[in-house]
Amino acid sequence: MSGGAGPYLRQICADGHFFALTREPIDTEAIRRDLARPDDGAVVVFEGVVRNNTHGRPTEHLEYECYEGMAVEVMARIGREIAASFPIGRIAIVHRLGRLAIGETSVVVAVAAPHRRAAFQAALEGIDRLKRLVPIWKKEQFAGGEVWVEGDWDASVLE
Amino acid sequence: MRLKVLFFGMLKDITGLSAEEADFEAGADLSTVFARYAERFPRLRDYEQRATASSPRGTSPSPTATKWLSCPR
Repeated sequence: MSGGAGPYLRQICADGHFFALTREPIDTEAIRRDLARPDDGAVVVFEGVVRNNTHGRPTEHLEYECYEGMAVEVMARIGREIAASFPIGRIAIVHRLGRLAIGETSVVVAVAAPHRRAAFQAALEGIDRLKRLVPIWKKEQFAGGEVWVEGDWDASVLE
Repeated sequence: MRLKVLFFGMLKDITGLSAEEADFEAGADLSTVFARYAERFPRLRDYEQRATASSPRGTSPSPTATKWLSCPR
């Protein structure tokens, strides 16, 4: 299932996994609640939050934008690959767009699994791949200026 | 061929454009597209090495192809 619903601009639900983009505050608890099944013994939730500085320079807020259609498709591909690589149950990846204040959650990667090790490993792999592969741009607003922050995006995702 | 060019991040700020449709010769590649816009917006040349382009996956062939420019975070 693909499209937008509720707080989500775009979402993909497949085999119990969930991938979405939103401009609203991310409801981490709702994601966690929907993810776990009775045979899961662990749920690992990673939240990326807006830090108040970059290399010591005070940050006022961040803005995220993305190529929505491609971003959610890449998120889903990452999730499917991780689910096939680790002994986990379900995975959810949700990224927020727009202007975010210090301390707000920009991204959630949540993994439910029968055992904790796989859940931790899959969640770490999820956020690492997201930052490397998903076309999302981040603008940092600081006192007296702003700058687009470039990361370690891997253009091979386009091949 | 007619392309829809999408701009993100720094390239959107430089051009003031988020999207634009334009005609190119059949088979035009990224460098051709980029050169066209760099002529209009010379500051783009500073970012040529970091620009990328793609047609979205999973879409059926369309008279309007989509390309997008700029390197994400």
